[in-house]
Amino acid sequence: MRPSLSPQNYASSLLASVLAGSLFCWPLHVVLAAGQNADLVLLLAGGTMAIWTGIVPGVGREPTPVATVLDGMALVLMMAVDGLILVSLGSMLQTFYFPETPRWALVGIFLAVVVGWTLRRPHSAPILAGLWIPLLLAGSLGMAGLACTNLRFIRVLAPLPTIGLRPLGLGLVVMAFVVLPLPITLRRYGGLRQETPRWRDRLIPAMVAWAFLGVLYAVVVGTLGPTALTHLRWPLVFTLDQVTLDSAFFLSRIGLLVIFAWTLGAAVGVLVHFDVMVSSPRGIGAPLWAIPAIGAVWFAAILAIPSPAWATWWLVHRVDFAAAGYLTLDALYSSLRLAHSHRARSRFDIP
Amino acid sequence: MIKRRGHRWALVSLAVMLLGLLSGCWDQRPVETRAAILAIGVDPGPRPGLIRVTFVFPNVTLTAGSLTSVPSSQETFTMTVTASTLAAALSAVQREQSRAIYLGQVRVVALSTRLASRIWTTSLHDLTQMGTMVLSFWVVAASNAYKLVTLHPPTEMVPEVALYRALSCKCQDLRWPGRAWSVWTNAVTPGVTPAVADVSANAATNTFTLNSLAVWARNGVSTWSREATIGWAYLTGRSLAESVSIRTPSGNIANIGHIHGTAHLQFSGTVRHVQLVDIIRLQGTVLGGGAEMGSGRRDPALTEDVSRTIRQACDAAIQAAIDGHTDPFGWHRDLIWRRGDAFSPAQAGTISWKGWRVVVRLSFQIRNEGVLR
Repeated sequence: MRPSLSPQNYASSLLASVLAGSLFCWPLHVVLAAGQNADLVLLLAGGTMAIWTGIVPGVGREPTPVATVLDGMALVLMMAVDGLILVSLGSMLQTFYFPETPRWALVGIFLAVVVGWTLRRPHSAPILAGLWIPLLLAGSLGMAGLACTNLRFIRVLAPLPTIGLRPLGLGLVVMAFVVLPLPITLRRYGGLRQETPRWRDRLIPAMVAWAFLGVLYAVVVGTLGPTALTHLRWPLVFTLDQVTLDSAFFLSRIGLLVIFAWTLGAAVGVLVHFDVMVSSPRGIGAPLWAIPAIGAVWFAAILAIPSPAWATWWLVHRVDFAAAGYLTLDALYSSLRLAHSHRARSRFDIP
Repeated sequence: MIKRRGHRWALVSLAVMLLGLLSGCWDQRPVETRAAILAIGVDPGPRPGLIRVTFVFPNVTLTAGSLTSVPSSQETFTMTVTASTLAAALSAVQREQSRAIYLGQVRVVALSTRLASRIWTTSLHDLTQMGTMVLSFWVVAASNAYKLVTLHPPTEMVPEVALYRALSCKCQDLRWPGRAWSVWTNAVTPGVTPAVADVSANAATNTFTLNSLAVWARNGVSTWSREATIGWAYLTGRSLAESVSIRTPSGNIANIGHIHGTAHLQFSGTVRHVQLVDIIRLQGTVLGGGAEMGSGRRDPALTEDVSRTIRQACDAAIQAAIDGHTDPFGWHRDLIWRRGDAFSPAQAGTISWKGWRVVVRLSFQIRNEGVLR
């Protein structure tokens, strides 16, 4: 029997679950898909996340066949997204920090830590998240404050008068891999709380994650402009790299420090995803031996995937569409259940 | 119990293994085996298609104690190689150098104005794509890049490129462009022409002067006149402490200094006919000369004269941009972004000022400093 989650750990786990991997390739693909409508995509995604927190039941749901299939879809897609992001994470580490270490070694170490940790302490992820995520958020926001000195194009951040529906839709689909872990984490961790998390408890972490992505978007687009950032593979790393403190010699690359710290955030995120996978108050939960199996599959994928560009292509052009499909189905099902339960309550609980 | 102890040993051995792996020991380079590059100068080579690249390294035999006794010309040493691209020059200099080249401390990259602009583009592209290089250094133009990077201004005590300090401080008359990341951003963005500071070196006195703008168009690098450069600074709100000298009716010369302010853009018109209003708000201080000094009252005639001089500079800048088919102001880019077609391939062409009407709306105010100089 695991202890119940404190509200802080619950919020931090949600943040880790959403931000963990997506941070590194943010906001390149959204801008590539939506162009200058990317800010509208961000607004719409924020709205969708807010609605999600409202319709997802906070305590897990009845293990009906449909719900089981949907949960299975969520878990499989989440693991696919994490694996593909790990490939690009390894490539990022190799480019900026360990130029002479092979990519499989970097990701292998990461996997050894994450899988080993989960096997040893399967349910410690929320506690780790409660410790690290607030620290990382504060550090990154401080960094974003410093990066504001390089802001040159505030006006580009304002929404355009011309709205393209196709770019907007594509941008929302690209956002799907960011939002994907949100509903299942909300449900499964909500069931571990002593009291059912209220709507506010679920809304605030989702909105903090969204606002954080928004701040990073503003810093990157405001510094580089919408065209130049599409020439880079890691625009966020490039932007934070240019934050220099000319007077402080030893801290001349302070932005890279923050990015490196986020690899820890990514590890915590994967730990949370593993924990979500194996712990289930209601519905399907994977057995613990699935974790090393997934680790092995990821490691094989890293050896097999020829380049990080290939992994990103799969993430954006294949997995993202499946993720968007899952999110739509789950939203439909959850709102149907919600309507049904409201009707049931109004029929029987008349005071 | 035995099982638990087994777990502990597994943990300890995992931790020891991770400590070894995560320390990054295989990527470490001790500082004494590294050669940090301080500045890079790129000049045309002996044949077309070749470049001569000068690398400036700090002199590692210097100690804190010997700094005062060693002449400043020996604080650094240079290596020059001839290659076809900057990336090739870097690997060539690595072959000649016994220590590992380190690019994290580059302060200034000087490119010769005699180079074709294609070489400017590829050089900057090479530096960006390397990934290991921080693009916070300054890119400058010089007629002779070798002379510029081998200057040793006597005021600098430590091997630090004085030019970097001069450009980074806010002590210049105008805020010069040329941080490598923003130059690169402009180079890949349609509708804006990258511009950097053109620096002239005086080898006799070991000094350099920042005087004009080098605008880097498709067909070559052109150096703007001083007047056009100042006009560019006024039009883009980059004037920090410009000064204007006016001959007053009484025959004195009045100096108006500390001219600084902001510039705002207003676009209107159609796709074919663009009307741009550049609203410039400037203020300055009477620094000396003229009968107006002691009186402390504002002289409308003096304000009028200064405004006229500023307008002339702005007109010179706009004319230089039109003549060279360039846009170092970034107005075309702003228009493209406002219209939301930043990604249409049609925008990648050259700058055309056809159908443009630029109106400069200037308000200038003389502030009283309250003290006599």
